Amino acid sequence: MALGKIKADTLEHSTAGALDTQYVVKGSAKVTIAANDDAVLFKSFNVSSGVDQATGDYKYNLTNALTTTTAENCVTACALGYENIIRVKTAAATTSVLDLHSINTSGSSANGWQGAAIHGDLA
Amino acid sequence: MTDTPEFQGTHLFDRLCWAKENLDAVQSDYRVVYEDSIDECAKILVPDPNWMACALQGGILPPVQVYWELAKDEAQPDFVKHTRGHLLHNTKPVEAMTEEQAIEYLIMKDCPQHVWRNWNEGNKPKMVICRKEQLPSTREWRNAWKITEELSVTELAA
Repeated sequence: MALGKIKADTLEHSTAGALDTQYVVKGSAKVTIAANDDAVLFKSFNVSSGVDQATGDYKYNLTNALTTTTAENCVTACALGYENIIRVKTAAATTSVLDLHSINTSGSSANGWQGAAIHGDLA
Repeated sequence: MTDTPEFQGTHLFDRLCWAKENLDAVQSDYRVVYEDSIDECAKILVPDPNWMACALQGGILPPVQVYWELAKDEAQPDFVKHTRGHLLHNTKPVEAMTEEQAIEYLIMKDCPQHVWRNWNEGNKPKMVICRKEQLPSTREWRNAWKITEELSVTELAA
């Protein structure tokens, strides 16, 4: 593959100290998701499809799986423009499936736009 | 059209980074409607635009069988973490697909196998590929959506 490559184990600032580059590699999001209430993705990375499963019930399939299940990793998720809470479901989570539940402030399933990011190790 | 670099042996994530930089996303109008439980409403699968761009481009995505192999590993009771991720990166990538072929690939990757392997066994199909205009225009009564019983398996097969 003809891409430029810089190999470095450490980044060092002139005054602010040094940083091991593994923190950069391991600390970047491996999956990003922004989707509407029909699970139509409009900003995303490392996702193959969205699934609209029911009211407030959404699933996202990954292209490059993680080493462990999505529910075992750091997932940040929020409702985009809705007063909903986004919950990461564990029962159907796999290394390549992120299962989200959107609920309103009364605790009922509610449709909504969602944003999510996953940090973790890739398979 | 942008030429795809030789990607066999390149980490799949790096290929996706390349695709994000070099390919325009393709928002498909196709939807896959499937029912994986008679007690639940129909589910609607929507292709990701960046993934679709990769599928149409060719030379980026691994063969779908690789995903099946990883799924088999994950189904083992003693599974802790993937140790055969190299299959994603080292297997020869698939050639460019048409949008219709890409949807078939996506079905085999992201729909439950018991649905797509037996989609036409029963009184009505368990899975239908349609265009987004053919879905209800609002999400009212979303939990009651079902594949219509007016579709016959034999008509679809013909």
